[in-house]
Amino acid sequence: MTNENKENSEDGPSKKALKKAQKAAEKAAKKAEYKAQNAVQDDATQEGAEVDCSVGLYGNLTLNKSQEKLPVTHKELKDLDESLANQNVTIRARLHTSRGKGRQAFFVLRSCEHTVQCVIAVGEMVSKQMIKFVCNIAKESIIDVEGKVVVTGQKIESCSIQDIEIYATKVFVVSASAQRLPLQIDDAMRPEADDPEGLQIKVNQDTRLDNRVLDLRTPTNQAIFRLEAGVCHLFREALRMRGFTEIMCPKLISSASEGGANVFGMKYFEREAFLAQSPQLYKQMAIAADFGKVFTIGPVFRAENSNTHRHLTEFVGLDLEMAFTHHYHEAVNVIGNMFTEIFRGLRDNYADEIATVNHQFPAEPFKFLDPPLCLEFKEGVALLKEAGIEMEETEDLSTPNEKLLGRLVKAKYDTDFYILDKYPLAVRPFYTMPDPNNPKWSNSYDMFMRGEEILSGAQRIHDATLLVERAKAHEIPIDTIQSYIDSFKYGCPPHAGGGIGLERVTMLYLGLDNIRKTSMFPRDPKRLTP
Amino acid sequence: MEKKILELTAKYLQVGQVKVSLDNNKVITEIEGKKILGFVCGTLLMVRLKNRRLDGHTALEKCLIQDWLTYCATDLFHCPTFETLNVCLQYINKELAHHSYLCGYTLNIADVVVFLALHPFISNWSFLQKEQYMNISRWFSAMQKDESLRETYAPVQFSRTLLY
Repeated sequence: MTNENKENSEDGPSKKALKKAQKAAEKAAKKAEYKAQNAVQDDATQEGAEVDCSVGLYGNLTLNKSQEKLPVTHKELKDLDESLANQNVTIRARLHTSRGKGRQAFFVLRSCEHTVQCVIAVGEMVSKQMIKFVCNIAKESIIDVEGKVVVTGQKIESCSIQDIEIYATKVFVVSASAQRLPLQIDDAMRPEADDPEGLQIKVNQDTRLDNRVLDLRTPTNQAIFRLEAGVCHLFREALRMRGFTEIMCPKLISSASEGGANVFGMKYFEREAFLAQSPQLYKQMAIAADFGKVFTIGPVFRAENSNTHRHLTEFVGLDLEMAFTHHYHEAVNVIGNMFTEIFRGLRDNYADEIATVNHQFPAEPFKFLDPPLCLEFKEGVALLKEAGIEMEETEDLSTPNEKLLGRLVKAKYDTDFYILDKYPLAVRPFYTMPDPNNPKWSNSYDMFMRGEEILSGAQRIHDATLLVERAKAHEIPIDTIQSYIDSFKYGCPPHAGGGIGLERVTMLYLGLDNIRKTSMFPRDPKRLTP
Repeated sequence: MEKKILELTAKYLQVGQVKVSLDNNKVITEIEGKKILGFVCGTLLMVRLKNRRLDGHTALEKCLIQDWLTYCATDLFHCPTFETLNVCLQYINKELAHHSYLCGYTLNIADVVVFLALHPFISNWSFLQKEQYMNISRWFSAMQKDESLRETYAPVQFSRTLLY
């Protein structure tokens, strides 16, 4: 057998090779025929292209450089409802998703928290080329859609606007997006335990923060930050109505205000300067300058190397300070009532936003009492002792004890917000006024939401001599705080106040687990961009 | 583990001279001259000598006691990791859902043995863990009220209100 083969290869192509060549030739012939046929079909479609009935009704708009002044007739997505049935509307929104099959396409438009379904089908005014164009628009592009509002028989479960859909007649791309997105908005807005059988893809927090511009577009994030703005607004209103004046404090300061440990330093021309850790000093100077009741909203910089779920290096501080007549509880009541107003305002006016956030991050609704619950530090320690925690009466509360105390108070009084008054003097800063009857205690208070501390405040020492004495007891060199002490030399009313972190309050009100969810562009020891 | 529990059980039952020794991973109990091999038999011997009440009144109860003691000897005492211990705890928790005590509605030696085995763990539990194993907490709280157990072991605090 082998001999024969050898002979064949010497003589020329063997039988097998011949057969192979024949088959290859047949294949090539078939391919050419197929190509010819396709060419004919392509010609046919080319002919079709010439007969596109939707020319001018779709396409990419030229870059908007404010070429023309036209009246604005666009409608907002949130204003679409059954009352506009059978009318023509124009809307500008983002393309959320699209899917098309030849003669029909469905696409979902998204704007802020709202989504609506649009349908486009081949007809008199709509051509196949238009359908193809719509299906090829990249996700997240901003598009202008004009169409008729139609009431649907069945509710559209997958959109937020469920009773109507739009039968589109014109589609223009205002601003196209790149085809490849670093994260999918659908994945970023998927609730945690949606459907155990379904997709479980979630987006990592680091990915979200690296592509914050995309991540902030999810309905949940839109709701969180609108609610945060609401907290700020309610804070301002509650205090303005009680006669407070808003002041602006400098953030570039010459000496660290509250102990030199956690402060950012930098070069300031030929000297050294620091970023303010808190507006404490300036609030008090404003009181000494006869402003009576002041509040300030601004950034606070803390150089703490803490990588926890509730610390940021830069956050927004809402601080207030007020002069009182007889007892510092006048200030505590003002702060407590301000919180009650904030919680009530959020519950009543931002219910939609809270529901949107709870859809993706379920949490118990926030409970509070009116007037707010105020316990003494001693009572808190007694509650913990009943539950088996051994601690000294004048020992500071550790974080686990704070959390357990929050649970015990919730079980006993059914409130997520409470005030703990009369802290031990040893654990408070040097400018805290000691208790008049017992030097072990101080006129200071902390306020807690869901077991975590949100405000630390006290009656401040308004007398220069006592201040020097307390500073010496805390072993703080007097020359570093000389200018602070000087502010009280020319008469100052007794005053008290406190400061809260905007992000922390929002996070605890919504029951979220990480403060980076409530800071638009968070800063922590590991993150400096975006 | 078996040796330690046998010694603790002996102390609880106030059996006089008991010698417990290990021989090739098998535990031998020697009491009043008699030598018995194995954990379950050793425990039952001590109970029948000292306190017949804890041995169960009905045949069903005696069966259940033996069943639980065997479960201890095979599974509970030999948990290598916390995950396996949690599996055992979930089993015990489920069994306690419909009974006051492990074998029904009266205290017996099986309850004592499981109590002695779990005490060092439960005394370190946080309130969250106690709430997760609600039935074990309820049973443990009832066990703590027994006089001889109360004398030797520090009581563990339980919360009567739901905290979590």
